[in-house]
Amino acid sequence: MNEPIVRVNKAKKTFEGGLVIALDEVSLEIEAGSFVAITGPSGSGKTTLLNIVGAMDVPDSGEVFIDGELAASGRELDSIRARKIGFVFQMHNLIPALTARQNVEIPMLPRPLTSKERKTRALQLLDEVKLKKRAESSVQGLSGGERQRVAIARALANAPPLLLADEPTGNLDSRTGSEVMDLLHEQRERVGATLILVTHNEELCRGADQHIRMQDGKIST
Amino acid sequence: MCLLGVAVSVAMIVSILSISHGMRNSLNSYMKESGASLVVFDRSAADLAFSKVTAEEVDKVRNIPGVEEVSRANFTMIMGPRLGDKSPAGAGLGIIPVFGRFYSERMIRKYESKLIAGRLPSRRDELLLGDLAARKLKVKVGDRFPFFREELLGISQYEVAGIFETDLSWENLGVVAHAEVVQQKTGPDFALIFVYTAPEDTARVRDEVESKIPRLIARRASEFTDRFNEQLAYIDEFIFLLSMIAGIVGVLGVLNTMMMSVSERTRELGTLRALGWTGRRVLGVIVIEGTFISIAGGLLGMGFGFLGTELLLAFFSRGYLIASYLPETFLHGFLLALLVGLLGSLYPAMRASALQPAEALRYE
Repeated sequence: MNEPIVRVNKAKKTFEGGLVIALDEVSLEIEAGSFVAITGPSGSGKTTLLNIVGAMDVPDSGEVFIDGELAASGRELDSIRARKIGFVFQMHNLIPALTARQNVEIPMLPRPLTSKERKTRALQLLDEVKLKKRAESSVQGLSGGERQRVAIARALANAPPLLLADEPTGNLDSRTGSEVMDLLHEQRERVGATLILVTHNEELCRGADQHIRMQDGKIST
Repeated sequence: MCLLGVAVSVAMIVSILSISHGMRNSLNSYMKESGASLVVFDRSAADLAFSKVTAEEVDKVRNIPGVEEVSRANFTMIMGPRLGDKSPAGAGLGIIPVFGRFYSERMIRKYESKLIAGRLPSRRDELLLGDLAARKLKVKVGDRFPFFREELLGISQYEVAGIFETDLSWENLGVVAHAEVVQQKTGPDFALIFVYTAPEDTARVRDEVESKIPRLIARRASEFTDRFNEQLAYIDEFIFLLSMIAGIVGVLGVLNTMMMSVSERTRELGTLRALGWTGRRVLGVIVIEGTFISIAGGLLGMGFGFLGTELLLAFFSRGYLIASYLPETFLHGFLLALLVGLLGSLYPAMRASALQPAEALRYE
């Protein structure tokens, strides 16, 4: 077996001075290029797990390796996030003052690219998500589905090997949600990335290579 | 609000600095135009208004070898006379500077080339009026009027012998009266004396004046303002203090604005961190944003400062104040705005850069 894209070894994470155990010595491995669904009730620890796997947080104890790199300290986390991870949030989290294209360019800003290169790449990605015509529109003028498509394009900006999506359809109607998921899968397959999806919706988990169910900070199955 | 706060601070500094430079420059011109080699005055006086040179000291200076001529000068300020129907709305003119000169001495001749009407005065009851003073008093050459409110040396009516115009508006607002008449108001001492020498004797005469009469200081006319600027050091201190206060107010304004901005955009900043931006990049963006706002306020303030000063001088100073807009003044304003922006945004930027992405994204 190849080196897993994500390896979590006995990760423990607590909040409120140890009173709340969000993750309780969780261990898991995720194969590169797979589709992984994480489900579980509210407070079960799935978002905490996603944050740790996404190098947005570190466990109190245990280890996390992302694409072979230990995600342990602030600077390493910044670097891992910039190079290896693309996020799609439930609330899309686009910068309202910017256009769709400018939002897609944000993750590319720390990279040594010219503004022309960034613009070309952003337009190409918006074309992939069928929003090229709205590239110069303010994101405030876009519908919920369009905004999430911009967020997918943004997540793909640096061609990360790992795509993390936290309830990406949570704020969308079922039809738009379905379209967004189709697009997410299409893009994942196109670039060969690993997709880790956190959701309440069991429907969205169909076709998952790995289904992680969380309960009280532990993986239940 | 933050932008306006910085603008007001910078406007205040630009205005005060420009007026201060204007005052100094006009004094420079005044002394240079005297044509004198040396200006002699009281070493310990904090201001020329308090300088006293006695008649005996004048004689001592006059007797120094190489001194060709000495012109004595005194100075007072009076409230303008009420001229009845002749006066605008019957009201007084306000404060008028009165320059006391002996009409037989060389100093009076500097006005010869400045005359726009009449001639130089020769009698004690004659006056030489600045153009602005003549216009405000509504008098012309040949008119007689009670310039001083009381009878001095038996004179109650003064005749306008001539009207002059110089580049200095406060001089144009003034009146040259006979020094003996002015002495009735100021006492027998003089404020300063102008000494004329051959160029090769000037340095020696200056040293001799200071060694023979240590109480007095002798300066070349061109150096006079250097000495005067020393005496005006309190203005620099005042401006520095004002800059500090304006700066602190500006820093607090930027700090408050940027703290609010960071707080309101916590999720946004968390998103940027999640997308791979480092804390240092976030810090840079916030500092640049705060500094940009502050500099925009500074530029606005420079405009306000210029317009405000012009309006102030046009409507309130009545020509006594002159503003001189030097590039250094605007540079001072720009640097103040830059510093305010940097200092005011640094702490909010540090707070923003320390945000943990997961924590920031949870922020409601």
